[in-house]
Amino acid sequence: MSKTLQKASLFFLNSYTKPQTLALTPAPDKPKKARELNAVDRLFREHWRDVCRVLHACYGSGPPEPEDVAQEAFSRFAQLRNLEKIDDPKAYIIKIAMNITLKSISRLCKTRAFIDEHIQHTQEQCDEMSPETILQAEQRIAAIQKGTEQLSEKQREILMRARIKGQTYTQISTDTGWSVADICRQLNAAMALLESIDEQANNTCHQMPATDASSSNFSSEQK
Amino acid sequence: MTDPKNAANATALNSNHNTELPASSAKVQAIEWLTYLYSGDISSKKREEFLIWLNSSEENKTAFKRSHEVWQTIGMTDSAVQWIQQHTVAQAETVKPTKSKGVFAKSLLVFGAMAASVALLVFNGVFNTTTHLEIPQPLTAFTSPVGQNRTITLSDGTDVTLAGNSSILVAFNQNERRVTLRKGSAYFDVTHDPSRVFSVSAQQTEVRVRGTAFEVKYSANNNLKISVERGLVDVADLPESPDQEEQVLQLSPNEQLRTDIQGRFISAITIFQPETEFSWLNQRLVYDDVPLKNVIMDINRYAKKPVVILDDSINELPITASFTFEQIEPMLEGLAAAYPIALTHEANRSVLTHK
Repeated sequence: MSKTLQKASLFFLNSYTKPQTLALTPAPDKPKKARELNAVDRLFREHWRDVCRVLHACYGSGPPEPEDVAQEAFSRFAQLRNLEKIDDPKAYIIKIAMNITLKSISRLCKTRAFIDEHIQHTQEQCDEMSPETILQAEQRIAAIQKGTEQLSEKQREILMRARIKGQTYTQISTDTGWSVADICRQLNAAMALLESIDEQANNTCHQMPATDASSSNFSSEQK
Repeated sequence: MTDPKNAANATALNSNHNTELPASSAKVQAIEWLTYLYSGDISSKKREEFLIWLNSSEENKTAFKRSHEVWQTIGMTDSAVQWIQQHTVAQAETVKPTKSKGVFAKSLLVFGAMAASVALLVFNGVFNTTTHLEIPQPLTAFTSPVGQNRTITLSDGTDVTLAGNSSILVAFNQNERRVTLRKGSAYFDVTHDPSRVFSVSAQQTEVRVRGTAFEVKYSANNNLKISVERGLVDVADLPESPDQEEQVLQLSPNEQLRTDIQGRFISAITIFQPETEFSWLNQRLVYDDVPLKNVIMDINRYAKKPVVILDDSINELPITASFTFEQIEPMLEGLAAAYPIALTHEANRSVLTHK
């Protein structure tokens, strides 16, 4: 970097653009794009405060700051294609924001990196959400959703604190008064129920219309 | 099962026999290992036991993969959003002011607290063998507004310059000087004190010095950049658990190192130009072939309206530019003129997209 550049008021030396940058981005459908950007802008004005408030209440004041996370979540949302296919944009933005925040919790990142290192992921398990991955995983999400509705209040509370709030068992114990051993048991039971429902849904999908008797093996073992 | 470790023990101890067990056992064990790994209380020994279990059979691998997929999917459900929203409401209710107690009740509380304090002091004096009374130092927070740097002189004489929209927490006592970088970027000109280490921590990285000048900065993807101007600086990757050893690298003047959110060193030690790196101390931002996303991250510390990139394809666009904090607006217009970038001004933000 030359000294001249330090003193320059404002200029650019390099206007080179990577060839693949241009090639990768086809000319957008402008009216549709403009409509979508307007819709995102409206969502931003309507839900910005709410998203920040939710993040603040669940994860504290940071770092990362809830406002920064919300900004990032809205930005990522705006970059998605086929926005009109998303039924509840606010819920979707909150999901993106939750994932961004959880990715900034060092302990969880280390665990995730450790697991990633030793198992091979399928595409549908990808953490980065897009309409494509959401649609692919729609059935699984519906099954897990159904499963969470069948959990007891206590199991759901523990599961969400561990998975969504990213709390350790000790932190959950401090906040709720339940013992670590009990938390451990409840979480295992909750996961077993979710897995059994996920498995049932998966078997139903692959073997329709015949019902596979073995699909209920795991759930019956839990009883 | 009294704790998460024991929960995992119950299955891990039998890991030698896993290949003989039916698939359902693999499923149960997979769940227990998964919840153990995310419990927040894990040791390296247990990790090794987990790997032995995982690799002992294909059934174990398949079962664990499935459990992990279910675990990840929970974050995409509407139940998660409903829970977090209910959690927000519940928290708001718990912080509502409670009905005020009567004067008598308040007096009782005050007297009770005083009596407890006296009892504690007496107990400390009689039974505690420490040589001095340690009073925990409160954390002091310093923040800078968006749009300008802020320089603070700490109680030991150290000068700290915060870039715009940055924040630190400071805790000094007789034995150490601890600073936590909460966000943004901070430049430290540390007063030499051989008896007290000066440390700056951010995420899982800690920088330790006794007297020197350096900068710690959050960059894209929650990575950290440590740049030394004067003296020697130790950068440590803080271990996750007490049985792990920390890794330390020493930086000399004009040397720079990058770490990730987990504290790992993600670059070799490199040489930097101090006049470019520290130009922000003189109200100027200077870039030589720097990705656009990094430039925008810095700009957002000073811009009146946040600037967002709504197109991944321009994130890595190499930018070379020099401008003062007051020239951010014309600089953005210049970007749009010189690069294939479209700049749109919205009510609350400025948006950059591919042209």
